[in-house]
Amino acid sequence: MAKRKSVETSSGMAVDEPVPDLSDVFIQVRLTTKSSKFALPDVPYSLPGVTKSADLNIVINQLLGEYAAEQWIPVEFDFLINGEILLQSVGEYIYERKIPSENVLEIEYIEHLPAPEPEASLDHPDWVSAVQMLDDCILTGCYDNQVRVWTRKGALVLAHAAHISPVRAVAWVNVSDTEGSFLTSSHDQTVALWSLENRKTQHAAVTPKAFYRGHAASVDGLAVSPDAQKFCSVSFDKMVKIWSLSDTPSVESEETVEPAEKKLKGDGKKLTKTPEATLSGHKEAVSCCAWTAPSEIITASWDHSIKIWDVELGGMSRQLDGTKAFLSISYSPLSKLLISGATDRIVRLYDPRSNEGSIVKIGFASHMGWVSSVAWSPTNENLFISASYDKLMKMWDVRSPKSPVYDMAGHSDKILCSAWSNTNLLLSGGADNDLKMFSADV
Amino acid sequence: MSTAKVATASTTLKRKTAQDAAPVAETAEELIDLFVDAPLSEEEDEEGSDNSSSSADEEEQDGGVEENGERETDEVEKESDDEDEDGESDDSSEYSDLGEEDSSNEEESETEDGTAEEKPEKGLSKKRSSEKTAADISPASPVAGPSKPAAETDVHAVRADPAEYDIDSSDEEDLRNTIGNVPMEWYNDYPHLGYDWEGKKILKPAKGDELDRFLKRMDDPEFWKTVHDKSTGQDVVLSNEDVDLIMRLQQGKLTGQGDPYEPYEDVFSGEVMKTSLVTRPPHKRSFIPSLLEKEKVGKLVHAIKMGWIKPWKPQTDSTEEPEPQFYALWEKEKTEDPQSKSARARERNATKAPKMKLPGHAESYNPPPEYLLTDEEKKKRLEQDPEDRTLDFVPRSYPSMRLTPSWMPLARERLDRCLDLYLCPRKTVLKVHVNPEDLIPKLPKPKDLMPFPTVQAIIYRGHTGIVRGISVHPDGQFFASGGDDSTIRIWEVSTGRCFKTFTAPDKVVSVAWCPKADVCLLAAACGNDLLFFNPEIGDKLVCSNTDRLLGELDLSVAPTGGIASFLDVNDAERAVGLRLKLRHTKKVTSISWHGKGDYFSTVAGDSGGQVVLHQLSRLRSQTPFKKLTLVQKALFHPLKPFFFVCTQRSVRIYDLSKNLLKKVLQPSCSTVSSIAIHPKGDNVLVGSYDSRLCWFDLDSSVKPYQTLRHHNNGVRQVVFHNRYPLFASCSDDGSVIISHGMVYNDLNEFPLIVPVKQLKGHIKDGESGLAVLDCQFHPHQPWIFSAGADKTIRLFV
Repeated sequence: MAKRKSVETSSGMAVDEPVPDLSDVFIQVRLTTKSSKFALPDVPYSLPGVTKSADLNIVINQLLGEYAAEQWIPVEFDFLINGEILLQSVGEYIYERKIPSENVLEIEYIEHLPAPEPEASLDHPDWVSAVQMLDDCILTGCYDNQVRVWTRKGALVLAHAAHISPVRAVAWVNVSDTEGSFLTSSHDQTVALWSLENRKTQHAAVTPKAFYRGHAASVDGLAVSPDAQKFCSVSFDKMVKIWSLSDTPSVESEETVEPAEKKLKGDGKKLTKTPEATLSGHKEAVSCCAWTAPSEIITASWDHSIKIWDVELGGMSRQLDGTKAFLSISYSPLSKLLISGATDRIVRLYDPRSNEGSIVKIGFASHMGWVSSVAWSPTNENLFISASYDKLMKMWDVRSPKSPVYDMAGHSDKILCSAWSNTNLLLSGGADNDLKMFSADV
Repeated sequence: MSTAKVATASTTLKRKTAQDAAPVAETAEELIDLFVDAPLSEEEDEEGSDNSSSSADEEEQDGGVEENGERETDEVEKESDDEDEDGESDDSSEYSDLGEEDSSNEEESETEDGTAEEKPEKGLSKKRSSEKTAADISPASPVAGPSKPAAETDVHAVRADPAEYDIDSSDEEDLRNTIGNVPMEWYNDYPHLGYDWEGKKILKPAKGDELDRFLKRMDDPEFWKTVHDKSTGQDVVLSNEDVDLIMRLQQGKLTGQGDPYEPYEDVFSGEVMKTSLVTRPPHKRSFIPSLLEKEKVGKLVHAIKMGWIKPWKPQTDSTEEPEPQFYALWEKEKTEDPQSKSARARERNATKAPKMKLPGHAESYNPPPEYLLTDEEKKKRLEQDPEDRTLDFVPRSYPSMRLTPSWMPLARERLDRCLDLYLCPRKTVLKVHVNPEDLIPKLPKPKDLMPFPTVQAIIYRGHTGIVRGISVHPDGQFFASGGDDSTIRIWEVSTGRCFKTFTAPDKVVSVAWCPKADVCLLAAACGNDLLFFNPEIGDKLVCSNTDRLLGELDLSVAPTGGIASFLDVNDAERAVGLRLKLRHTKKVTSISWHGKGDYFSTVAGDSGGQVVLHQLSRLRSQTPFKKLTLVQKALFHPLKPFFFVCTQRSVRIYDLSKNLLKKVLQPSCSTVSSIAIHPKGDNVLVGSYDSRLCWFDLDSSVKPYQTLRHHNNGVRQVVFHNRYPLFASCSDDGSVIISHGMVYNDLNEFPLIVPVKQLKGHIKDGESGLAVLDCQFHPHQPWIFSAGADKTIRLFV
């Protein structure tokens, strides 16, 4: 299911013009590493220009074998030159970047990332539109109006008809050993807070805690603030709304508007809550949102812009303009960087803090369809995944923008959602009614 | 005379050493004096001797024999004798003559200056050699102007450094090396360079290597003017004067000393005096032909006769093939060039025409009576042969010139000429030069016209028959489609999810959302019915509002029996979303809503039919254009109360407020299929089944502003984008063509129409021959949806 991107294809893609004969070029390199386990004496080596990663691997493993006390088991490494993963031969790298071959080239080697292991595939009765995982609980939203909670092993804890329309987004608020709470949003224009009880027993149950009404179209994105006191929701009605999660409801509104809703939700009127703040400014549907700080959110919209809002002040603080409608964003608290997926198939990396140079720092082009979902690794600041309508999920390393690290195939239709859990499980759900799981050893 | 000497002096100047300074000091002084005086004394001498040129020549020839320095002392005494004695000629010794004269001058000066008497021999020999070199350079120009200044230069140079010059005469070769004029390379292998006066070896001075040389070059400020003397192996540093002199010589300038503009003195005068200054009669030899020459000529003649000498170059070698010569056959201008030789010759040799005989009295218009022929003469003339007649005409008399028979034609011709001049146009007609490339309009590149749909993004699968019509919800989140599978489907744009499906009783031909913002109502043309659905998507408030508004309608008051009537729906139909029916008497083919969402129009009839206008709020229908048949489409103007009715051949525009026909557009195509109005309302696009697209500018003309023929088959639908300057057309050839259609606010500027992209993706249905039946733009994004005969709907972004 997961395949290693071959080095040859990626190098062939990178080099267009003919490269001069590199067989008689020798380059001085110094091999360094940050892990003490694989440290080598600091001696420069002279390598032929045609050396590739595989050759370097042999060299390093041989050297490590010489210095090792006991029997050395070969380890696969990746090689970084100036913070970029080496995909072609060293000579080609130098030639492309016009680095003088007299210099001693510093090559850092890092342990090679093992391929994600495909795990269970969770069948759903309808399209999987949203997925999120916290600790060992997987939460999925489905087009059959239900949300499902799964265990890490892939066992269904429960399914609950949370909405009267397809679920668009789900988000965990917290998870403890026995219980948890999560948010769901749907095409029926509501967001609901649910509490999960006795989740590890047979008597697992879900009870509604609150309904958040105020949007006038499908709620497409949810994000819980880092301190779990608030959450924000974005909708197709161009609005961004901030809601409070605290138990004391700020405004208890008497249900007036929705007589039809009342019948369905029983005692729903007591639980209905109104937004704390509404941020308007987007000219088109807002597709995705993310918290960057306790009082700052980022939203992406179909109006070709990403806006950064200050929640405290209730206004926009910065805008990043693109050229295509944005479908998804993800913010990494580790690297403080932002990635976006758009309708033009390219994943773009932004630095929301920088004001200099181009807005887009790196473009990752490999997908053949709309990029429906992107997610940073919660533990590794260089890795992220992107899922696309071309049925592929790709794992990327920021240091090798030219080709993805791994392609994860398996879906037979569009992928609609993806997630990278804090337990390093990669999840992707799609229009083939499947949720695929991959375990990444990062 | 002494120009060459200057050159030699400059190189040898510094070679003198103190060693041989003393003995020749006086001689040098003499020499200088001699040079200074020489021209003067020569002049005197010439004046004295040159009575005639012949005598001067004679003298030159005479002196030549003397080459022996010893004899020269006697020269003065012998001179007169020599003149007589020297019979044998020596042509080459002009200079010796000069030398002779100089020597005589020298002797004079020597006698004047008593101090020089001790060393006559050496001084003489040195001087003689100097004169030789001088004469070598300019033997035939005794009149050399700068000779005297040059001599003076020498003097200056010498006087500037008398100590150095004491030892040597100016022109002497370096005396220290006695090997003579042999290449110095012969001594390359020896440690010495040659031999000095005493016969001792001159050893090569120690020679530094390249590094020394380089250091010297760096350190020694005088390095640049240091010269290596091969014969001694020494390095000689030139003085500033020398350098200056050399540079001047190299630049071809005067040496810079002395007066270059001294009056010219004609030393050897060419003037022949009337009386000879000398009493000597001309020599006998000047009368007698030279035997020597005769002999020489004889030899040459003999050699030519014998073929030893070829007096002229032989003709082209027979071994070499003659180069082919080509003539420019058609080069007329060259031959007809009046300057060319042949043309000039032809001109010169042309035989001139004989002069006309001047007219006599007989030719006069009124000749004297004696020239007039009498009757007898006339008769006689007639009898004569024409060649025997004295006159070839019969003289006639007219009282005035005007009465001559030739007058009238002449006057006529003159008049005609005058009229020509008077009436001809005086303006030259300018010919228009048009570069065909300038006629092509300069279109911008499609890349600059982004954004527009370029690639297929999502395929919406679900229909089981040909998809006939699509309509995008004004919000942009959903769109509806209907097709031959008798279903109406609502799709989610961003995911490709078929959100809802409504089953219709018949094939759905066309669907259209009500443009009103506060209702969610979808109209679908299905057989004879127009079905109104509330799909309940989007805002719930809007959906409930729609139901409320429709519920308020009182169907009991709705008129019945006309061409169309509104019908209520039963509960089962209401449960699946149907809210209202509008039944026509004929098949409904198209729907279009007015922008405010209350009025709408349908076209009813099997293949093109009648236009029916409806009002939803009052449930009324009317057919205002009963006479119009074969209507294809009907459309409301987006801004003004105009109504467009599209028949097969023309587009009729009605003003609804005034109830009159405003305009009839003539698309000049066979069958109009579709029509679209630009959102600003001033431009109309008409597509036709003969694969043409006509763009009309309503303000300018009823003829198309531009006709586009990019499709290969009938155009099914044309559509404008609401926000972007784009329009699209879909055709039976399976493609959707996106064009950039920019309409400017400036009324003087024509719309810019550039086709930018052909989108292919739909597969042509072989059975029906249909491919793409409908296309619609997304209301906000530059995206286009196309409905195909391959049962899919495709989104291009």
